[in-house]
Amino acid sequence: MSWAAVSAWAGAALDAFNIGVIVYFILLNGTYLLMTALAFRALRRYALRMTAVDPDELMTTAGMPPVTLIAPAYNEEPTCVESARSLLTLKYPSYDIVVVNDGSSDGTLARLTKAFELEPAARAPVSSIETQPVRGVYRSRVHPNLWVIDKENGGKADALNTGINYCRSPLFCAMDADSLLEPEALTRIVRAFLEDASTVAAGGMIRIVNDCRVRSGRVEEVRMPKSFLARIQVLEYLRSFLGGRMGWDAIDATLIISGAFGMFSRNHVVAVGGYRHDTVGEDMELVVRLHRHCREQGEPYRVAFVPDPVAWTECPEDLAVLGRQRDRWQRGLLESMWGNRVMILNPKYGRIGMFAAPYFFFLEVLGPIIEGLGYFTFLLSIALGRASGAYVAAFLAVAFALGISLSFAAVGLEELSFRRYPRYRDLLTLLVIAIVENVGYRQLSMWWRLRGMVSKFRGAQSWGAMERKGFASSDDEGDEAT
Amino acid sequence: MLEVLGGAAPPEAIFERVHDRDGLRFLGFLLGYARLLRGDEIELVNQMARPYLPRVLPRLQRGTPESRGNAVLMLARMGMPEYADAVADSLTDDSPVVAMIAARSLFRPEHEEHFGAVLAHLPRFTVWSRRFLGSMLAGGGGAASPLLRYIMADPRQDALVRAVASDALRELNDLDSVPLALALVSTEQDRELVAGCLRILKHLGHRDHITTIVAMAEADDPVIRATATSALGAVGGDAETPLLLERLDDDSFWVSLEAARGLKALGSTERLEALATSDDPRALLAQQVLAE
Repeated sequence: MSWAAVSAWAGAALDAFNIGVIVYFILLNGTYLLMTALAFRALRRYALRMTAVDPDELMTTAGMPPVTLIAPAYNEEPTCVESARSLLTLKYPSYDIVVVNDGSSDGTLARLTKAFELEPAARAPVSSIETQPVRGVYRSRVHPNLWVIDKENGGKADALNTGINYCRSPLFCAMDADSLLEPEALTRIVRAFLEDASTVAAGGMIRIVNDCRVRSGRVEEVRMPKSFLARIQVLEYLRSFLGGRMGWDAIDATLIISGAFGMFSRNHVVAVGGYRHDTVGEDMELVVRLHRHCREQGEPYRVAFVPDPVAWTECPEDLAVLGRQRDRWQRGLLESMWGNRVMILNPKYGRIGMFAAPYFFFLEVLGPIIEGLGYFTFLLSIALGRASGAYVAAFLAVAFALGISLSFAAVGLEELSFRRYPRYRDLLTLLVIAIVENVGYRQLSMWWRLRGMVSKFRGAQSWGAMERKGFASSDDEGDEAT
Repeated sequence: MLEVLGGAAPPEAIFERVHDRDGLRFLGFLLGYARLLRGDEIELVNQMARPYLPRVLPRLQRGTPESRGNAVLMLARMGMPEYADAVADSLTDDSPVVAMIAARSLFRPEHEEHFGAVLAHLPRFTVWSRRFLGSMLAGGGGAASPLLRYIMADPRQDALVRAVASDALRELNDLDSVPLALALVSTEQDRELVAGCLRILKHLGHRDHITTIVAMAEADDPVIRATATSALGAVGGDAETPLLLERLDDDSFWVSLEAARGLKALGSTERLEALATSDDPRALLAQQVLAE
């Protein structure tokens, strides 16, 4: 084959790939726009519904099911007491708190023991999902609904499974030990199970707690984080939860429930064998498997997203830590989708199989590869004269404008619904971040996700450490005294 | 508003300040108070709301389900008993959410005349949690019991509806439902209904019912077995101890747990204490129940 033929073939391949990038771009942003539009409608209806269904009134009914909060803790010494205290202040008629100390090497157990006067207690496991051995079960002398299970280290999924084994209530709430739930969070999320008895799982909203004022485990004053990186994540979370998950829920295709705060039917989770140990995305994987299980059994079911129960969580303020988190999320997404690939484009799985799963696999899992190569091939096309600089610049400008629009829409959704950042300065900050993040951060984020794909294929299984700085509390000194 | 609520001004004082065209918005504002206040204060809120409530009526027929539901709630909270019929009409609303808001508003002792209408629409609500529905129906108080018993006994009704009625009767401590529960336990096949009847027997039954309960404690279905075992502990006596000991080794954790609790309730703790200190796999269960 002559050089000219090779060159022509390579040029055609390059053009074809560039067209593929554009198709990917249209599909991805088209879905984002559709979801945002659906979210606007769904949030408006949700707000109206809240004027008709009063959570406080629900609290007064005897029909609220008992709930178990399962909080896995691994080296959470700085925040574990504050978090547990936050859980003790929840407004809910009947709930157990089960903190699972996953073989922490720091003083997590000692700190909990001292703060809550833990003593050994008998509690028999209800189910038998395989986990690492349990070393001891403790109960608080001062708060009888607070239990701590001390076990050998086995990872978050293993800790959650241990908690499920000890869960006696029909519903359990899986959360991170460092998350702070708002007092009405349980009442609000349980509503999904009351209003539709076929609900098997429901996810709540996650918000960033960095630099908020926390007192006795409650967020007293919502503040915009000081760190630029944390501010970007505030916007990302708004986009992801209010724009994305609300939209997916509107079409009854919720595929992701954050590990930081979700409620599940115990029987269904036990029936699918609990969380999987061999993935770093055990939260998403479980939800995908619940969909799969219920569809295969022909069982009517619902997985819901509820926007007003809130869990506050600390986000990374360090590039390296954030990079490792995103790397892990991408690996988790890939593992969840690949492990359940039978669902992708399979009509047997309904809208999950035909819409949600293909979206997450082709656009979110493969996205960083296509996007990363896209940057490269566009530049190459300009260098080889196969695309005009003006054309590429126009495309990037459209991408830029769309990115900003979606972020503005997410901020708009927040303003129209919950308005947790009431100060104009905070609103302005979010709008500025929406513009700035497109240059540099977006590409960096793509790189982290790409790295996640690479590390997955290299067999990585690690979680990456997250350093906690603790909450900006006004009563830290009181911890040991309580 | 605060002057009216504080008794410093009559409710009529508000009518000069709030124009009729702002009536709906004002009602929305008042609804927040109506949810929080009780007694004389809620009566004042109702008086303030009264002139504007007719504007709500057209909203029962149009708009989104959420907006119709909000309209039903306004009438139910601030316009009863005058608007009870309008609220009852919403039981036939296309949206189950609107119908549920109407049902919850009407199933209260003061609206006894609407109980029949609410119960007639109960099959529409079976998507809701059973516990929630049972609690809602129990909110009707003793006056609802005869109708609930009728539904529980009616084989033409959906089994889940009958089970919900049984839950409500148990919450109401309705002694008259005991003979019915006893009869249904032996004749019905639906797990939820049978379990509901067994719960009535557990809470309200007595020793005369033990033969039926014992038979159910040997059922194949673990849910029925566990509920019956729980009832055994509540209404049984020394004669039931051997069966409870047998159930302690049941394959189902829940049956074992109820058996252990039953033994404790009957004062037969020696076996539990022995079990608790043994190497038996159920030792932890025994320790737990002894510590409860």
